[in-house]
Amino acid sequence: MSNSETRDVEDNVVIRASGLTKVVSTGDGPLTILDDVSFSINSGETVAVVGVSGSGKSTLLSLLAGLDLPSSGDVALCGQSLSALDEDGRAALRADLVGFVFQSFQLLPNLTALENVTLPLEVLRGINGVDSGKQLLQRVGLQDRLSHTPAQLSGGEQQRVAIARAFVTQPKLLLADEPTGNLDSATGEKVIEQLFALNREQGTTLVLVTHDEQLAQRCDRQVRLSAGQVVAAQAEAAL
Amino acid sequence: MKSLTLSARMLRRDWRAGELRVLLLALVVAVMAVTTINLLTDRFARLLQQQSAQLVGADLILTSSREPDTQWLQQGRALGLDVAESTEFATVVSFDDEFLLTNIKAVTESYPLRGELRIADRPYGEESAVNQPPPAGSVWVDVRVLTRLGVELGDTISLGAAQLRIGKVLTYEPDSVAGLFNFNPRVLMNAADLAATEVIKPGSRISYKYLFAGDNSEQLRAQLEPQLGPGHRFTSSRGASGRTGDIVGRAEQYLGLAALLAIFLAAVAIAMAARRYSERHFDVSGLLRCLGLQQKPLVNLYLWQLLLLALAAGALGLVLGWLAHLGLLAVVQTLLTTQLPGAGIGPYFTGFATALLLVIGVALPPVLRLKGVPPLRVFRRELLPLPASAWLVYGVASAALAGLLLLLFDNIGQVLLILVVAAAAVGVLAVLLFLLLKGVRRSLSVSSTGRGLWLRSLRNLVGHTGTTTGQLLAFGLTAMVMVILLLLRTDLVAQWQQQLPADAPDKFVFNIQPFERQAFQQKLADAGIDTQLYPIVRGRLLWERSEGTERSGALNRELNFTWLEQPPENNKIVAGQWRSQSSQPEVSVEQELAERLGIEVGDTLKVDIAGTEVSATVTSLRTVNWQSFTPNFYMIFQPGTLEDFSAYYLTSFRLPTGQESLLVEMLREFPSVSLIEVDAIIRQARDMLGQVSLMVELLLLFVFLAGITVLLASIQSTLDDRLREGALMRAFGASRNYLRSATLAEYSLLGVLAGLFAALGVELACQQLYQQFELNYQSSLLLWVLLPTLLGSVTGLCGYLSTRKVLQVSPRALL
Repeated sequence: MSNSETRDVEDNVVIRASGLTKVVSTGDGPLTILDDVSFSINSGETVAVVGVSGSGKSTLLSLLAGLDLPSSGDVALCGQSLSALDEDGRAALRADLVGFVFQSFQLLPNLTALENVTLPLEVLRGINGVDSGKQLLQRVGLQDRLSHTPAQLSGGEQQRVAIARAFVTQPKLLLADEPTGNLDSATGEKVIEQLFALNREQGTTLVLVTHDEQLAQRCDRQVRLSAGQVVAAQAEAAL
Repeated sequence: MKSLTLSARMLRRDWRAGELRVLLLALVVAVMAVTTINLLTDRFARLLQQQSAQLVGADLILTSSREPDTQWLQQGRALGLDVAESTEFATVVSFDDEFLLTNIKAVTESYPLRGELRIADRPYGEESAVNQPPPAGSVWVDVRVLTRLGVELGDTISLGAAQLRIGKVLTYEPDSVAGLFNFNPRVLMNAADLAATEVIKPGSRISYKYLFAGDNSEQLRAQLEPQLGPGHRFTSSRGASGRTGDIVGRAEQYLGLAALLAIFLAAVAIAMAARRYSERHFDVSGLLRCLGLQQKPLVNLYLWQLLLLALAAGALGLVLGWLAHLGLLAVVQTLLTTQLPGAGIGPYFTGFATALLLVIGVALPPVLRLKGVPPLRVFRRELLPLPASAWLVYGVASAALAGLLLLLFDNIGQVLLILVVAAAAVGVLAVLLFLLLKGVRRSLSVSSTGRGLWLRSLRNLVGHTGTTTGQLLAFGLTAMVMVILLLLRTDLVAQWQQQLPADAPDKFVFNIQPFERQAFQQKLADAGIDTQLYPIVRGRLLWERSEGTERSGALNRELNFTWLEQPPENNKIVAGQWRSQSSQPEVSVEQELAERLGIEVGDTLKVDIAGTEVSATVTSLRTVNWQSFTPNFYMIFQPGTLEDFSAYYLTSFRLPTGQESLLVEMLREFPSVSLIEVDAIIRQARDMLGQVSLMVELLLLFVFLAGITVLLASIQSTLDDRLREGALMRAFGASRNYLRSATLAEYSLLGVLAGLFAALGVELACQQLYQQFELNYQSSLLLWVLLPTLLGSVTGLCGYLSTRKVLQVSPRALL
């Protein structure tokens, strides 16, 4: 463990992004999507990554999750450098630490709501998880929809199932990509309430990518991206 | 264990969602086809074996000119075999002052081990079958003994020192076929009386036979073979089925081809279904990877699912295959004169292994792609998995498929040839299709802006070049395979029937003396029977066998020599020329005998005829059609070589029904001639031909079933796109009627095109395949008309029926 990693664990830093740069090659030459992005997020914090379309928000999220690797720079999750791990190592780390909520829900169409929720427990932990799944679905108000498939649920209901799925493994870190992006504002509002409520209950660190300023304001602080660079990372006055 | 439970759970969920139906169906059809075909061929092969065994009276016969080691009988018994002994020799029997040279066969109580003896209570009386020899003290004799000695049933004849009573007329005994030209009248006696005859003395020419029957007979053969000395020879019933064996061999070859093609079609369906399965699991795999599942457990998850699927398909296929074979047998049963023997464990094992190997060889490669789905796919759906490490995956797949072929087919070379031909045909088809679709696409885009239904369908088809090429190949191949099998079946059955024409001779007459020849031929001609008489001189071949050639019975026994101006009709010269211009005597030798003895064209043969040596140069080697039921000869001399020796004549003819009395009349008029009736053998061959032909037809059903799974898999593979397109069209306001007609038009067009390519494929493949079956292929215009029409209709209907969902699902649910 390097000095900064040891410090992270001691300091309770969940995410440390240092000098993250992502360059992709296109037909017109190399394109810089992220340019020397650095920040850190402490345990229990809620942080919104905001910016306009194409500012690099989703790319940043995928780098934080270790779904993709930066061209340079590094991400450390709970003190563990992602660049030092191979793909399976990063997957194992995600399995231990990370939960996800996606804009497009990413529910499996052949599975019922309950099965979708318990899937991570079944597959990653090898446990049945029906009780935890039922509890969480009840917590998001879907106790009557256990055996419905995604096609039989509304958009808001689908996202609530996805939230239940994200919390079922009690992750240390929850990454949410535009969780209300596919929902109307009223439904979005309800879904976000439940997301924040569960987040509080479990003391999860939340990183939320959004272009919705109102939503961003509900977080402890914002990391603002523009053209791949962090333009402001301000702490909330409340802190 | 955990991942097995999880896999089972996921498999159940996929099944519930209807994801696995076509994949499972294709697997089940393959297993079912293999199991049914193998069960039937196994049981028929056993029946054939049994029937051949009936012809020779045992499964395995050890013949020896000296008394064989009785230890060998013990060895046979130890292996659980039934054993019998037979001792054959020629001796004179007498009654009053009449003497007659006869061939005696003395057999032990258990004779015959296979098949039956047929006896009658009076000459040409009604036959009855028995399976034990005459009791001690009595003999059964053939009708010639009665006529020549002037005795009747119940009289007692002298055989050496023994007095034996004539119990029955012997009309049929196993092994009499092999001794077709054994000229002496036959007497069957009980071995218990042998010692009392005192005819066996040192130096007597005796043929001892040990007969064995039972499952382990081949094992015994393997044990004893190294201990055999000169003069010992094994005959197994496998080699004895000459006449029917050829037909059954071809039928097995054909059934093997049918199985191969059914598997081939099922494999195509499996590959298509597995590909779809894989593609529909990209998202799941991406999600699971994103949630933190590592590659290995992800692969294991799918491997276990495939394994479970293979087990389920294997079990289901076995049960259905077993039921189907019972069903087929129920249809054929009326034609079967005997009960079929049960099958061994082999077909079940093969069926099950087929499921596993097909899954590994065909379904695994597309499913393994899932391992490479990047976790980032959850954000970027366009990301596709990298191809799995090609060498490993396709190495394993090829090994599995090679294993499957080795398991299913003895003759791997021939199977590979068929596969190469098939691959070549597919290649040609694919290239042609590609070029054609490109061409049509180009001409459509520059010309016409027509809105007609057909034009739109065509535009739609050529627009999806990749999909359409795939579907055309799938439909075309399926049709091609079915037509090839159908054509082959028709021509094979015709060929078999030709081999056994309705007027195949069923009577052989020999010992016609030169002075009787004219009168005999006239007598038959008066009855409307036209025959050719062959002169026969008996002699021995004096041939120093060259090193390395097999010992052969040909040297130990007398052979029939004849002379002819022209080679017999069904003989083919395969080496040398029928006659040269030389003034030396010449001879033509049957090819197999020549090979066995190492005789080549140009060699000088010496034969001993009644103590006189005659030399002749071998000018040609001939193949002989032993199935032809006409007299065949190992050696045919040049006319003028053997005329000085005393000859008799030989002929064969078919006796029209209702003229049986002619036989009695002729035997009375020409008392010295000998008659052999082969009606029973012909009847048996005909039965077998009927059974085999019918089975071949019924088994075509499986190929059709496999073809239908290909159709389903192919239609299903584009179902998602079609549902989306259909929903979009309906959202834009297209009427159900329009969509219905459009679907019908598109699939019919696809079928017609596939039909045209199938016709081309059939032409190409048949040219090659027919040679394998020694048939001539004749192309027909009808094929080019019928195939597109039929396929257009079937595909149109199937496509329409399976995409009805497009019309039923609400556009909202899909868009």
